[in-house]
Amino acid sequence: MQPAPPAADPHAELLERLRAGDEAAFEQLVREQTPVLLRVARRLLRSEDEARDAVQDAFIAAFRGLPRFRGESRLGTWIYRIAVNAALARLRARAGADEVSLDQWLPRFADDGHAALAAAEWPGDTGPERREVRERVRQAIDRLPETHRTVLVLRDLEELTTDEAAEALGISPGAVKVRLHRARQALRTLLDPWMRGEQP
Amino acid sequence: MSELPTCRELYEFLGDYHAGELDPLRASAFERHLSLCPSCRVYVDSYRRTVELEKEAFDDAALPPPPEELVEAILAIRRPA
Repeated sequence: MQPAPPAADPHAELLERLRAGDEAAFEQLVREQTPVLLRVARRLLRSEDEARDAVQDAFIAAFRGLPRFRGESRLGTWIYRIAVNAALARLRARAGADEVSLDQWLPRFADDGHAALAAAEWPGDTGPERREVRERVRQAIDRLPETHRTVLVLRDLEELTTDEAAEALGISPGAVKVRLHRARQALRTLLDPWMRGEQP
Repeated sequence: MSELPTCRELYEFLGDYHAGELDPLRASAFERHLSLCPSCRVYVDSYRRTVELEKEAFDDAALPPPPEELVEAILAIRRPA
């Protein structure tokens, strides 16, 4: 007999129908979960075709794994994790593109530990140019090396915890923290001239 | 009270400070440095703004329904050939 799923899972009834092989339940699951899975896959892979393939990979794995799903996490969380892993697997399988070095965008310091360059203030409100700011930020994120961009996507955009991101990426929680901080610093450097109005 | 950190040390611990994970003693030294260093105050503020801008750049109001052809392709996996 299967263990009962946690009472808090809104998908408890759906899970029972899935286990019974109810086709309508599978369609409900696919329609409900695909938008979120496609969003994370698009963010990680930046390719519509590959993102769709990753979501398909995830559902293939989920359908196969369903008999072994013990309800220790919510159904949606379980499939989401599978999709993140499917997208990351595709990312790793890509032919090794030239990785840019992040170091060029990290702050520099004098020998006495003072910042080599004084930071200049960013204007307070970007309201009227919000759409342009969004585009600039997205372009800047795309310039980060994959090792750091993926951490930024999982931690800041997908809001995974440090431990969840570490597990998905197969690195230590400490490495996640270091990469996230360096990615944010690099992103800040990339946005800095434009935010200060020095670059059109 | 711990020694005043340098700008380099402040930048190094900024991620933990931003996450609220800096131990109280270090956080207090961090804030003393900030109170004395306008450049680091500006840097910390722009770091915080960077994280906000990231989130705003991907803040899609509502998720669109899934592409029908993708739903069909996924459901076809389960159907007998």
